[in-house]
Order: sequence, then C-alpha cells, then structure tokens
Amino acid sequence: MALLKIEDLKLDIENSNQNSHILHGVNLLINKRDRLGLVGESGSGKTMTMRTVIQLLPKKTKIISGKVIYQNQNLLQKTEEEMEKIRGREISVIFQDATSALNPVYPIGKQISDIYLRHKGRDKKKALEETVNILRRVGFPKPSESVKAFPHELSGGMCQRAIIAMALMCSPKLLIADEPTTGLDVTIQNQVIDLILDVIKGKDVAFVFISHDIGMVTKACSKVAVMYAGHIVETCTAQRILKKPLHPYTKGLVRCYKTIIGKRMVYIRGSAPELIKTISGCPFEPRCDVAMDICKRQKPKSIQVEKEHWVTCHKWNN
Amino acid sequence: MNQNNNIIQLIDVKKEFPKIVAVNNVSLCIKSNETLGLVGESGCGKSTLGKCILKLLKIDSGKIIYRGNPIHNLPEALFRPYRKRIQMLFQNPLTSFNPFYSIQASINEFCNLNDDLKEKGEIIKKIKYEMNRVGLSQRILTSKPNELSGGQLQRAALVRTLIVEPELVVLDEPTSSLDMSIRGQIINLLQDIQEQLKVSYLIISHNLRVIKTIAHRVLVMYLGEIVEETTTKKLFNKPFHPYTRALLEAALLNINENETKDILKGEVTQTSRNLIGCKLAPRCQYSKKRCFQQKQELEEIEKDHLVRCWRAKEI
Repeated sequence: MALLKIEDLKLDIENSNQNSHILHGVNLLINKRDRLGLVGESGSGKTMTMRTVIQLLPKKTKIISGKVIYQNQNLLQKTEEEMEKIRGREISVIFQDATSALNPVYPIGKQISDIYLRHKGRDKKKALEETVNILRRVGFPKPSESVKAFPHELSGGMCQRAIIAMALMCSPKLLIADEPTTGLDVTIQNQVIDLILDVIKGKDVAFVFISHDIGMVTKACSKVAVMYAGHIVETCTAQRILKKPLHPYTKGLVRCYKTIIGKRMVYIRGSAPELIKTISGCPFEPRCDVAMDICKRQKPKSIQVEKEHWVTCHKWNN
Repeated sequence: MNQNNNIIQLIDVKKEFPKIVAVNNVSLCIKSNETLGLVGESGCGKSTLGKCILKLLKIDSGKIIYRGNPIHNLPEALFRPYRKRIQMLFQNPLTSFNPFYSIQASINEFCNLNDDLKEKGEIIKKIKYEMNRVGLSQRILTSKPNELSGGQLQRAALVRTLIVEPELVVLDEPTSSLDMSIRGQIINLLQDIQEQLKVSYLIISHNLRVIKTIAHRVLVMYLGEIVEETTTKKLFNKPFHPYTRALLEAALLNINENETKDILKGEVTQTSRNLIGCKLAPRCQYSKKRCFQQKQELEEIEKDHLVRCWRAKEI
C-alpha cells in the first residue's frame, strides 16, 4: 500500500538573474515497509526531493508543479503548523553531518526528550525514561549517564547514534536517512547502517536511504531509484540493479563500482549538466555512448521493462 | 636499498599536539617515479604527516631528508627553493581557490611567488600548456571557482600544482570530494602525468579502490603509527594486520568471503593513544593479554612486508 507518492515534482531555485532547475518532474512511490535507496551524484536532486517531502526547503526555492501525497494528504498544501506535527512524529530524518545536526549547547538527553515532550505529552519523567531506553537500543553502553553528555564529548559515530535515537523516538512511519554515513570512518559506516536496519526491523516503518554509494544502498535496501540531474532514470530491485542495469548512466555507475582490477579506473566521460540550462532532451545524452538523434530532441518517458523495473531511456522505447 | 634513488626519506618523525601524539616515530621513503599510498581513518595522522613533509607543520623530532639534504630544520628562507619541488594537491578544490579570483588570477598569484616564472608571457604560455595536458579548455581561465564543476576545478588545481614542475606531489584525498563517475578521470590523469613527468606521489586517502589503482607501495596507519607496510599487490592479496583486513572488508574488497566478519568493535577512541601495547587491542577481536601489555615493533614477516602485530602469523 502506498505510503508516500511523489507526482511530477518540479522545483527551481531562484537566483538573481537565472533560475536553477533542480527537479524536472520526479515521480516516486514508497509503499509501507519499503526500503528504498535513492542513488545519485551530488547535485542530482536526491536531497532536495526528500526535503520537499518534509517541507524543509532552503529559501528562494519554488515548487513549479507536483504533489507529495502522504497517506492521502498533499503535504505541499499543509501549513507550517500542520507540518510541525508531521515532522519527527510521522516522518523523521537522519541528517548527514551528525555533529552539526545536534545543538552544541544542550546535552543529548535533553534534545532527545524534547521530541517526546513535543509530540507525546508533557510527562518529563516518562520522557527521560523513554530517552534512556532508546539510547540503550542504539548502543550507548551507559545510557543513564550519556543523557547528560554534550555533543562535543561524543565521537562522530556516537553522535550519529544519538541522531538515530532522536529520529526513532516517536516511531515514525517514514524514516529518511540522508547520507547517514558520509562523515564517518569506513570501519564505523557498516556499524551505523546495521544499527539502523536493526532498529527498524519488524517495525511498521518505511525507510528511504539517500546515498551516492551504490554498493552501500544495494546492501541496505530492497528497491533502488537512480537519480540523474533532477530526473529519476531507473527504478528496480536492489539485486537486479547490480546484475542487470539498463540505463546507460546506471550501467556506468555500476561499472565504476564493480571494476577494481587493473591499473586504470573506470569513469563516465564528461560531467553532470549545469543546473541553469534547460534540458530539452535526455539529461544524460551529452555523456552517453549509445545516444541517438531522438535523445537530443525529446525527453524519454519512464517505461516498464519488467515487473518492478522502470527505466527512462529512449533505447527501451521499442 | 639504494639511498640515492630516494626522493624523500623520513626517519622517526614525531609530531605532537597538546595532549596528542599525532605522528609517532614514522619512517618512510619515496623513490623517484613512485607512488606511495598512505591509508587510515580520520585522526590517524595521515594528513598531519603530509603537512610535515611540506613543512606546513614543524616536526618535534626525527629527520626529513630530501635527496640527501636534511630539510626539517631549515629556516623558511632556505626552505623556499624546496617549496616548488614539493607540491600539494588538496582535498576540496572549492576551498583551495580564492572565490573572488578568476582561475587565471589564482594561478598567476602562485607563479609570482616563484623566481623562475616571473615573466608574464612565459607564464601564460606555461599555463596554456599545462591546461592542455590536464584536458581543460582555456575558456575556464576567466571563470570564478563557483562556476566550475568539482572535476574541472580539481584539474585547475592540478595545473597550479604542476606549473612549477615539482618532483614530489602530496595528494591529500584528491578525489574524495568528487563524484564516483568523475573519480576515475582524475586518477587516470594523475597516472598519465606521472608517466610523462616522472614525478613521485604520496597519496593520502581512505578510499582503497583509489589506492589499489594508483599506488605502488602502501603504508597503513592507525593512531599515528604505521601498522603495515608493503607493496600494493601483497597488501590486497594477503593483508596481515587485523586493521588492514577490517579496512578491506569495509570497502567490500575482501576476496575471502568466508572469513569471519566484524574484526573490529567500537570506534577509534583517543584514550587508546596512551596504551603501552597495540593501540588497536581494545577494538580487535583477536587481541590477547600480550597485545595490551607489550609494545610490538614493525616486523618483517615476509620480504618487503612489515607488520606491527603480535599475532599476525597465527590469525
């Protein structure tokens, strides 16, 4: 059953002279208990898509068109007050940089229990109890002492655990993790992903994992959506994307990820298009090795190739 | 080992910050036309070591010898001539360019500091030549850093680095701010440049894929100490130290799938720095009493393969 449905979302950022086009009609469906990975390079719009969902957009952004339907309600029409009730309670986010997502002047215990007090009632004693419980679950060895710890006293990994605790405090229906491991050391990254997967296991929660690392995403998720320059170019299951990618961009990414033998590194030629340009054809056309005439002129449509495998490429449009 | 072949040699280099020994008695040498990889997690002292080589930080003890000349205690005026021979390419090109200057102005500024490159016509000719080498169009010379993509900007930074014809370039995480599809472009370019110019690289990175492609030899550091040193081939085929194994596993490069996972518990703690024995012992699943109590030196386990671990041969 659909939990969140994003329909034809178009988004611009207004600059003084020219607008940057960030999203070009994004369609995405997240079912209940889904584990969706959103993969793409920096600037491909993956973070902006999810920020639109929780309505935490930077100033000067303008939604041109589209709907974000969460449990039959369009979130784009909600007022700020209504959104405040949804954020943290229904939809919560684990942000990229744990140390800057926490307030440096308050102990972590206060910051976590604040979420409880805001959404679940005013019993401070109960809030503290719940905070200790959730800190224990995310792997703090001495949770009753850790509630008094300030963010600077904790390591990056521990801060990220505190953020995870915060995100899960009100048992949200949708958990968005925006590059949760980017600032962390490689040996900690797996620990953090395993922890997130462990705490949501068996719960009624959908998980969206935003990352540029296609390997990490396929390990943690069951479905993958690949974004390029504000378009969703391919959606399919996690196993399939590594074995049988269809879009030339995904193929390139998978090749970059898989090939480690030899003295040369694999890459995709060129670089991502500039955001201020209007794209009339396929956004990947200038970098694509199999581009045809039509790719320059016409935008490809999303085509269902197999069950649960969608690709946006003219090659597959018989 | 032929001493004369070494571009740079570090002997027992130590760098302390208040309360922390960032680099603890590290010795290494880089031969001409060689790429040495330096691997480790954040806080292990790899960037500090790079900065010590460039004399951006003063070392507390030990020696740095450049082509037979000790350079670690030279005053700045006498060190100047070495600055152009040892260059650095930084992690984030967006912060290593002045945002108000055009690319041309940034590179000019750099050239003006150099006695050999004072003549204006000469500089422009040289810039254009190097731009061509790294595959940038000359149009971007008038652009400001924020108008360029990460890949373009890193190439421009490379132009600035190469223009003084260095012998050794310290590459501090040259690709970590770049996208996966662009990374290969820069790494392959660096390899081509090495072939053409015969420069040596010290590449600092936590990305083992990059290291595997470009480096000839690799040093693995943990909390300021070298824990394993060997050729790239040996390191990736048969790593000995548990920390190296954990790193390979985290990067999904482990060949032996059946090996027990989760070699390391917890994370780097600063208190481990004060341990007498192995600094990895509290996190290592193989650690025994001896690991905590006795200090192990780098030991040659096989030819050209140095490891600092008491249990390297058993596990």
